Amino acid sequence: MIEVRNLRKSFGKFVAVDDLSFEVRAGEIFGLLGPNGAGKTTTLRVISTILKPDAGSITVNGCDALREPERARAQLGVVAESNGLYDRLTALENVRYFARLYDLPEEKMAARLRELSPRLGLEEFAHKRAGQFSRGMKQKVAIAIALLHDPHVLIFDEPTAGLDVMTARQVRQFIKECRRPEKCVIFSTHIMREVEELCDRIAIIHKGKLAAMGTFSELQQQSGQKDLEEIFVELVEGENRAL
Amino acid sequence: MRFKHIWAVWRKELLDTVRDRRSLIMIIIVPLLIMPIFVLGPSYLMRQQKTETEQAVQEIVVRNGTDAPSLIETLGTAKTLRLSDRTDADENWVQVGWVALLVTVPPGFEEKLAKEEPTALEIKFNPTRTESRTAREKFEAILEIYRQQIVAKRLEARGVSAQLLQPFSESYQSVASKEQLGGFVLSFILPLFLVMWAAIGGSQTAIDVTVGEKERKTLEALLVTPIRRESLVLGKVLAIFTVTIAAAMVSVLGFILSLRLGAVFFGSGELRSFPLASLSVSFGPVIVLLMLAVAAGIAAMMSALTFALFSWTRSIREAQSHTTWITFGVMIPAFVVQFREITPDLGSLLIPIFNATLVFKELLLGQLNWANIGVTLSSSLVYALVSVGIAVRVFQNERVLFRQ
Repeated sequence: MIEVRNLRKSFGKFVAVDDLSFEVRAGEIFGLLGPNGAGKTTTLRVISTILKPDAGSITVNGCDALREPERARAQLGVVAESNGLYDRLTALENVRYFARLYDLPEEKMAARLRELSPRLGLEEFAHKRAGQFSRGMKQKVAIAIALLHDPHVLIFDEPTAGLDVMTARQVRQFIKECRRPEKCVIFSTHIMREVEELCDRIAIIHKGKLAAMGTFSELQQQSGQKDLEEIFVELVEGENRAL
Repeated sequence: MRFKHIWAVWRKELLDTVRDRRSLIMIIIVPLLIMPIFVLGPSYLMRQQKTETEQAVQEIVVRNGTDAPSLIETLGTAKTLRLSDRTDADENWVQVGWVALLVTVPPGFEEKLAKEEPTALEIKFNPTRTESRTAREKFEAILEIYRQQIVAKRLEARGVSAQLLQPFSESYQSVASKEQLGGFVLSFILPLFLVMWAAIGGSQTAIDVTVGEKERKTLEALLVTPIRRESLVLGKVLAIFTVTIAAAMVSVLGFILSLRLGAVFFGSGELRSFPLASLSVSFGPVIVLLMLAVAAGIAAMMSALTFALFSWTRSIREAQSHTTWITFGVMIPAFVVQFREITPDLGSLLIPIFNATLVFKELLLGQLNWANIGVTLSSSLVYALVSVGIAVRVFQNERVLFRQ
């Protein structure tokens, strides 16, 4: 569903993503794991066509993201670390605004909201302004917005950052429920436990490069370590030593 | 580019603006309430001070007044000048304001006048003090009466009629109607305000929809939707434009309100001569529409330019500091037109802002110069389109959008 080939993105002299290749298949949750500044967010921004790569190619559900960025974006639902809600609009007004940008007719939006609201518990604050929301409430509305148009590809960039334990748990549960045969999820985090809990396959990124990729058991076999944190530390320290 | 997307962005930005207290203050409260204070306040205070000073009694000292008894007698008829008996007064008293004027009469003053010999009074005054300046004006008026009395006596002594000095009289009659006069007075003030509000009336919204989105981290969520950047920019620029036009119209409303308030409060009594109080202004719909069209030209160009500039800035604070110099930048050409008689030519009509101020002035004077209006409107349209192009280019630059 997503194919990233030889992706490179630099900001001036700083190379944020260096020759990165991976693919995400339908029906799987794919974890992008890496320390802060590893290049995870840059990779996701390039896939979302917000940033243009220096080199490489990206295909989103069969669509060339570099040639047809608008069509590619229509296939994506993105939940970024910053929820992107407008504080002076109510939850419903925020949802309605994004629905219009996704060309979703009012009836379809309403039907989709009826489906999503109970799962995310949006009913209680639908008519309240987002400025009054807790971070968790905002994140739930942001997830609803990302799922409104029923996208084929879901991107979650550090979705549980700054959330309380209960809300983070709800968000993880929701991501699990997004696993469908015709869809895929990319999940970026630096929290090992979340990756272990959610992801079918994992790509470990360090300093913009792919350090390792595979299922959890494949990574265990490759490194000889049982714990994902140990695998991660060994890979990162190994890379640092090599550099 | 899709109209539905542009419409959605425009609606959302306007809703957001309407709910923003700072924007509302800028669009409605400032022009509507501050405008009367701004327009009427300084003139009213100046006028009031002048009236108070004219009615107030100033104290003057005449040294060696015994040599000018007739002058002292004439001075006694002045109700608002009082002769001080402090003979020890000197220049310093005028300097510090203890007395308004110090008049020194030369020895044998009236004797010399009687012999028709030249003589001179010495008057010390302080131009930095209002009461001294006013006392000087009053004293000059008294001297004029005194002078005329002497001349009349001299002519009488020679058996010549005083009519000799006034072979004819004259009367001036204004050919301008009250409305034209009103337009003339307005042409000094209104273009500046119109140009200013048409240029920066939407700046708070411009900041909010650009660098405000960056600072609140809402931009990324917007950029991952399928909307094309051109549509996004157009929707946002149109929202700024709408707010700007609304602010400009409210400022005109505030201005009219100022005039009406002026007429109500200062329309009678001592302050009747207050410059804006009795203005009679009436414009036809064509003039009003043309002024609106010219204002719309500036608003369109400035909306797109401020959008591009504020997209480039790193923080709301930085954008606000840019607003200051934009305001001054706009005011300079408006001031030039305000204080100089400029005959518009093709060159001046191609200078943005400057051309609009020139046309505003002409329209307020009731002059419908279609060529000037046409050149101004067409050039404004071209500048607006170029500015929108710049705004789109800026918003397509990822280094601008993610500039930290």
